[in-house]
Amino acid sequence: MFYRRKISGIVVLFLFLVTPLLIMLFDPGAGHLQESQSFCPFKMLTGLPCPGCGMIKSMVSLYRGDLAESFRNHLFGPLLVLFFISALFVMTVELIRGRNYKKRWLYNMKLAYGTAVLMGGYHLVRIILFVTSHSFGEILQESIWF
Amino acid sequence: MQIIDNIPEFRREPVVVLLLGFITCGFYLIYWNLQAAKVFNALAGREILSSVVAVFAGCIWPVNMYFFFIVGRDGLPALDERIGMPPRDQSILLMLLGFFFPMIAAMIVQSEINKLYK
Repeated sequence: MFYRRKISGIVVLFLFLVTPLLIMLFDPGAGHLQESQSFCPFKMLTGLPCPGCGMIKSMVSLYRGDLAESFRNHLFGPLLVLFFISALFVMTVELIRGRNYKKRWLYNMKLAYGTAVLMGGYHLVRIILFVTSHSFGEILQESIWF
Repeated sequence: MQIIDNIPEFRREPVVVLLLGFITCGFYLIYWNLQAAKVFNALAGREILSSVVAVFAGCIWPVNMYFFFIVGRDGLPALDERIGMPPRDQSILLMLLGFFFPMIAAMIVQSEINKLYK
């Protein structure tokens, strides 16, 4: 059971890290990713960005070596990649050594609420900037309805 | 939040979860994930869902896929056992729903959580 869980965790983390790489490899050209219709169901329906919108673009920009663009697409993109790589490393070591390490901070409620406030604040700022910099028609064009 | 039999009470109409998710532009899902993680951790009697990961899952693809995968693999079987039903593994279904329609996945999980309080 231990090994099964660790291996499935490692596979999932690996896929998370590799998916943007595949998108990057099959991206037909510069700007395509920015201009094409988002697959986010929230954005498709409303035209507004969801809290996770821009994450894949951010990861792709990071893999291309453009850190500034990566932060512009999503502030937490590079941090998420770092988190995934760290988690992948820890899980691999756990698998090799056959034991679990304590990760108390992952279950710390204060840290969780702090992160929630940070994420929520970032999303709020992003929505305000998006709404103020786009007309109603432009917002609708981001959705699938126009 | 009320505590029922050591399980935090988190009862909502599934459609309210969907509507609040949309109306609040996804903010509500951050809160919802945190509360759902508390319920499933209490049900399993151990920390199966990290609260920090739950927050990330409310905001960020693909962490939400991982969140719903764990809910389906460990959370819902624990819930099934608690209400006396045979445990079901819905990890793949929920993970796919988490990818395409996270708000629908949250609705389904909420309807399962509500069974606890009947």
